Amino acid sequence: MTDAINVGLSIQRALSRALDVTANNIANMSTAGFRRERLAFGETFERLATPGQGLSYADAPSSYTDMNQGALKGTGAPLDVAIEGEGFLRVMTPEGERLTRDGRLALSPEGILKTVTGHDVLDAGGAPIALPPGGVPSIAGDGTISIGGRAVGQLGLAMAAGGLAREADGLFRPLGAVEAAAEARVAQGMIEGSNVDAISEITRLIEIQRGYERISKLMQSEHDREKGAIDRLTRT
Amino acid sequence: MRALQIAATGMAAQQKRVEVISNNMANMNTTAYSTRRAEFADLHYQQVRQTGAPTGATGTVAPAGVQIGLGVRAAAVSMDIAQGALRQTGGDLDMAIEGRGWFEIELPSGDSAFTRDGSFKQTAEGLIVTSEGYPLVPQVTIPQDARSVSINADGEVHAYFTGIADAQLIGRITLAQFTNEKGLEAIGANLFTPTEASGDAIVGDPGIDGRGRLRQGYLEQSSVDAVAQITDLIEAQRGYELNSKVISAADQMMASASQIR
Repeated sequence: MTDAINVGLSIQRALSRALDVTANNIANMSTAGFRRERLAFGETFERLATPGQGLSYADAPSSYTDMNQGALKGTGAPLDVAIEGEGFLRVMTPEGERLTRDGRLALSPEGILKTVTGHDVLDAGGAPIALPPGGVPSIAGDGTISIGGRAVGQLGLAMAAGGLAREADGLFRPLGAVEAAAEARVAQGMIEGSNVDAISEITRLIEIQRGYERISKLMQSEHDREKGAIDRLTRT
Repeated sequence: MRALQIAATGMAAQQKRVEVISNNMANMNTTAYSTRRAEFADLHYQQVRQTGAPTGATGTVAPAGVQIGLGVRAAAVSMDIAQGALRQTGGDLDMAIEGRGWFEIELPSGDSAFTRDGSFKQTAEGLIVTSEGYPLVPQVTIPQDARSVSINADGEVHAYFTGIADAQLIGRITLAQFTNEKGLEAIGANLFTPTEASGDAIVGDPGIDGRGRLRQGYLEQSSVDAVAQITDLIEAQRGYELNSKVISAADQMMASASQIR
């Protein structure tokens, strides 16, 4: 195979990965607190034997999470919270501490505050939050939870300095230290929707699809050209 | 190409949402029905390239990896315990709970069930029962010769008798609370039973410890908001369509790849 076909293949591989990422964004259009993923394209340079000459392959070396705020939706449920601004809720899983923007909270039978997927929500000090029975909790902008005017706990709002890796259930694994998020505010009775924008995802989908087909055609014509050359050369 | 499977999880999730919405719509006129909501969560992420993986022999590392999510799942169908509007019925034994709390009912099996549907009736013997004939707990019996019954906000049931000016206290209605109401299991007929997740019932007088108060002569209507449900339905439908577009795009891409010879 020639270089042109190899380069084409590398582009197709990157595009099919981009399709996977777009498909996941669209699938999670209605997932509370979901953050869309984007693929960054780049090139891989291969030096040829001839000095000064090289070949570039397309590659998708990294993806990044778009942390833009999603739209807030009022639910009226007292344990639904949305975070406004940069910051996450702190959550404890069996694998260790995680961060999430998914504020659909519930109480366990023991009165411990949990996420919709069953993980403990932590306060600023990193301890689970227990609420006394009875009374509707009210949650202030700084995360303070009070029942009947008496403060009973505070949601810990945090940021990760060293980046995040994604995990299932809307969780993010902090790669470095976790620090308090001073700018973030909590809105009670609201849920932050997914930040997936249907129009831009579908545009991206069409771009990927057309790009893929274009490269297929290019590879086909390159193949035809080579075949023609071989035919002509062998006819003599 | 994982896009096909990923989009399929998206379609399945939106379909579940439509099912939940249609159940809400069907119960628009059910007394004290609480709106249900389909909750989604994203599936696992495949770390195609790890962050910090070496990129060359010179010791450089990738500052960011490639992570590809594998779709979505329906995590739960939760109940929004919101107060429904109160409708005046004038019925002596119609009760609405203003605020939180549940009426306790005794099932024929002897187990307890809980409801916010306060459309009570009385048996031939005067026992207060639900529309299905299950007695209210604690049991209250209205004397045969009572002229009328009055239930106050605190749950006290008084009866008036001909010839006696003062009302007589004949019973008391209590309300149950749960630490996690969302954990109750619906068994149909507006009834719920406690589960591990909900915790046990904490019974007490209305108006105490955050329990709601009673309102005689009113019924709580379904909390289903038709407009909100319709917009949700449209959203679900569009979501389903978008996911199916991904499937056809992936299909066409695979076809164009397989046509190369």
